[in-house]
Amino acid sequence: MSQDRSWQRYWRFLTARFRRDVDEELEFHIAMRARELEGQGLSADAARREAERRFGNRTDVRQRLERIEKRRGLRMTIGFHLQELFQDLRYGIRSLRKRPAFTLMTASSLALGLAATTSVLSLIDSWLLRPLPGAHGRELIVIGASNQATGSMIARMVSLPTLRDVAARSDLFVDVAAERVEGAATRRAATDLAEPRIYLGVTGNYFSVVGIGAAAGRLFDAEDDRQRQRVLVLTHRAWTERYGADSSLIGSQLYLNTVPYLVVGVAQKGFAGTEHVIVPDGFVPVGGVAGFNPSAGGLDQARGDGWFGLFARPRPGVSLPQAQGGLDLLSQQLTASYPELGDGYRLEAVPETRARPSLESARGTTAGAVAFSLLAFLVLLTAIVNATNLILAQGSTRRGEMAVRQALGASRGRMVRQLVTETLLVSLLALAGGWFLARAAIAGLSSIPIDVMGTPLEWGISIDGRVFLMALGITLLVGLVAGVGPALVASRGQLEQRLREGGRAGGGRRAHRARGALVVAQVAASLIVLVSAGLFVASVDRAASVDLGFDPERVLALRFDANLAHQDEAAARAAFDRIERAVRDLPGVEAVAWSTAVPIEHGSDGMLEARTDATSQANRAGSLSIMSAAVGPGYFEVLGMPVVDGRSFALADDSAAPRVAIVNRRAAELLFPGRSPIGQTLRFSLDGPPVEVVGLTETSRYLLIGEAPRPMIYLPVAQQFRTLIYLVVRTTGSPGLAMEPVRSAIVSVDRDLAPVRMSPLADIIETSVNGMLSLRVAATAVSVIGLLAMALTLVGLYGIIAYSVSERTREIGLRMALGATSWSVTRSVLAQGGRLALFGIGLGLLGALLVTGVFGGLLVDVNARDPLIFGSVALGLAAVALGSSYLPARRASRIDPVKAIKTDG
Amino acid sequence: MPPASVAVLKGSLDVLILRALAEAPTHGYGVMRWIEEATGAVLQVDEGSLYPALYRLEDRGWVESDWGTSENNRRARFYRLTAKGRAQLKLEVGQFVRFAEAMLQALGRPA
Repeated sequence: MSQDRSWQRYWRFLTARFRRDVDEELEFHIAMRARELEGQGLSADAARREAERRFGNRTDVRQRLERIEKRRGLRMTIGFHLQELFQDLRYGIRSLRKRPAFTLMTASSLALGLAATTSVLSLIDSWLLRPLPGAHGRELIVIGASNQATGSMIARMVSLPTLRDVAARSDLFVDVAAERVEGAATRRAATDLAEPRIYLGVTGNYFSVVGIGAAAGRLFDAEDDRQRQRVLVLTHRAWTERYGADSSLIGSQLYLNTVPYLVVGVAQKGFAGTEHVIVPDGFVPVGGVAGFNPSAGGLDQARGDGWFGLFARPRPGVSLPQAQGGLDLLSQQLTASYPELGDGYRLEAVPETRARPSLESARGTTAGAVAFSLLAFLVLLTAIVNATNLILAQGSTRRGEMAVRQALGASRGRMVRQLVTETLLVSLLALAGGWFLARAAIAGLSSIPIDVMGTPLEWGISIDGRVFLMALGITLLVGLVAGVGPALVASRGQLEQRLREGGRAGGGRRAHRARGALVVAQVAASLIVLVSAGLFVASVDRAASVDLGFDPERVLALRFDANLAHQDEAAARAAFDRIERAVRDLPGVEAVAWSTAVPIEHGSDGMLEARTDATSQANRAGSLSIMSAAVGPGYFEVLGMPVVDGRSFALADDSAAPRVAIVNRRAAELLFPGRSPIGQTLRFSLDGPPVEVVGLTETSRYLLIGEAPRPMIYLPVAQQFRTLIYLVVRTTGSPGLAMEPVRSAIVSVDRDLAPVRMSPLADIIETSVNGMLSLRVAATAVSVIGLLAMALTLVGLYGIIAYSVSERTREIGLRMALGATSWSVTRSVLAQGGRLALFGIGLGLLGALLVTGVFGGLLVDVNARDPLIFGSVALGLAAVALGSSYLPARRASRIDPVKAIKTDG
Repeated sequence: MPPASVAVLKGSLDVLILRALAEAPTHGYGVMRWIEEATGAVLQVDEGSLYPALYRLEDRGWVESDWGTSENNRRARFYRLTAKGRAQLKLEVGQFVRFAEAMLQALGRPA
């Protein structure tokens, strides 16, 4: 009796028998009692009646018995299925352990696919799905603005007066809050050294709009904002990580840019503001921001100024298009009244989850997510097809096993279930690997420090239980998808054989060709990615040794912001002088210089409209827009950027002296073609004072490592006072070791004006987005994807060749019986793999030529069609392809003809 | 006829059945007869409840049943105590004795 499929029928049969048995048992009881009563002298009829009366309601008893029996049956059925599942699992584990190579290959192929999927899932979850913590996180919309200047980008450039106009549309919005990023040098005691920290300046209703509560103390509200209170709410993270969750901090003060602020509370755990990639330490009411940032003083009234992002809770029932409609109308009214908003000014609303990682990226975020998902889906699909091929390749051995089990009475359904259980086991193994890989990838990505103009950014990507559940769901689906097909094929044992006697099935050949095409596509895709990776890696290599035009070794860059210390120009100049002397006199310091720009970190501090006498005469409008920086005496020496003609700036070039400039070679070529620039005159506006060019430097790299030569003009810093300024220090030893002595020297002369940032220039070049960072991230990411693609290709090629060998066992056996040598068999299998690989490589080379042209601009001193890189990747891939075909080829050459023909015929 | 019969409490029926079967394997009617005789017909078993109790005990694995032939040559279902059932009986008897002693001790005090 087959156990599973006819279980139901069997159960019905059991039930009928059960009823008969119960009736018989109860009848026996009553008959026995009646006999006893008869023995006591009752008539047969009376005894029977009395016995039945004593027994009570027989139907009732029967129903009670049936209920007990049904419960027992149900428990048995569940137990039976569980037992079967355990059997399948045990059998599956044993079967997988018997084939470690297969298991490992299939699981790692799937693991790569799942890792890609999981990483992208967590990215999408973090950036697009997970709502903000807070009661209203799900409903929030973000309102920014665009105009002709921003192009299609939505920027956080809404002013407070505009906020009030938006909030006045109470038919659309319940409430509207505003937020913007502020930086402040922060310290706990007035005598501490300040550290640069980020805060969000927010309107008083911010917390209530987002729906955030306090973890400790209180939050501020609209009243604090109106009264311009200097109060501060910390994020839970800053409170715990920076201040050790010290509850005495609440109710005491923190100094922001030397101004005391009262810490009133801590926001609820998990809420890190509304900027995603910029993680603030806390929140200050907009009205109180001007306390530490004087430039925020007039924000309340400035219509065209503000740089706020708005966070609005729409009224229930108001859709996004409705809200946008209202904003469009408002935008028109505003543009008409306030030309300072710029042409084409438009307020734009996006759901909060679309305004990540930043509002500015809103238009690209969804598209990017879709692109990433597609990519991950393709990788997953490839992995599934690979797994399917590998499982199919096991087919011939499995078919034998299946036939035996079928002969022993296992039903086909049971065997399919068994095989699918195995695939699910492999998938779960793959999930473990994939999860580990994805976590490592995200941790790796998140650990890369990103720095934009000294503001640390975070990736805002995290992997959590939600993602795990999604990944688990996908894994089970993958196991089913990859397992059911091959399981059906394998369990079809006899049918398959019968089919094969009349030649191969047409569907099989079509499927085979489709799999071949897929492998070709895999080879092509990995070639494209590997070539790209090669180009980026070569770029990193060149960039690391590229002649920057200056020498970043042994240079320390310190950034000061006099505004933060609230010092006027005279006080700031005096403080800067004291600092310069203190640092210059330190042992281990070779030279120091002031400047408003440091290459790569902050390459230039603005543009000058440069005119020469020649351009002015030829065309009154003729000027060249050239970037500039103000530098002090010794700057070129500290940076190792030699002045090749004329002189460097001197102390004498102060504000009272005649105005002078130094140009780089590129600027000299543009401004004074064919002439020496020394002694020439420049003007920076039509009737501006003449500026004499006194020196010439070589052209170096200023904004980006890989940039084309740019013109540059240097002015003496003493003639161009700036509050944001760098001190560059050339050290005799490692600049990293000089940091502490330099810091304490500065603190000893001016505690308020500590550097907001101090870093060896070489480190800045490493970690800055403008420096090596983007190159390294690109090179690493593309290399990882390339290796992933190659691994998948390798497994894919192996799988398809192994499958075809297992399918052709009989044919190969025949050929060998007819005299084919084992080498000729090996050769024919290798040729099959080689053909697919060659197709793929040819296709890939064509594709790579197209693709690398697109990102050629990102490369540093590397030809986007570097023949060496193209050639070596193609050769390497061909070698890998042959390698992965070799194993099945060798197996084919060792087929025993007699056995092959017997077993399969 | 016994002068006064007492209905068997639900929980005590199980232990009585186990005890009956500890004597010898028998059918449901036999179990009932044993209880009637052993208690001097003081305890009256509700015959309708006997079989559900037997089935429950079988479900718990304390008794086993099989079809056999009765003393008057009729086909009857015979119940037998399992090893598990014997252990259970011992446990319940111990518990019941302690319970009864405690009750007697409490109720036996002069009022």
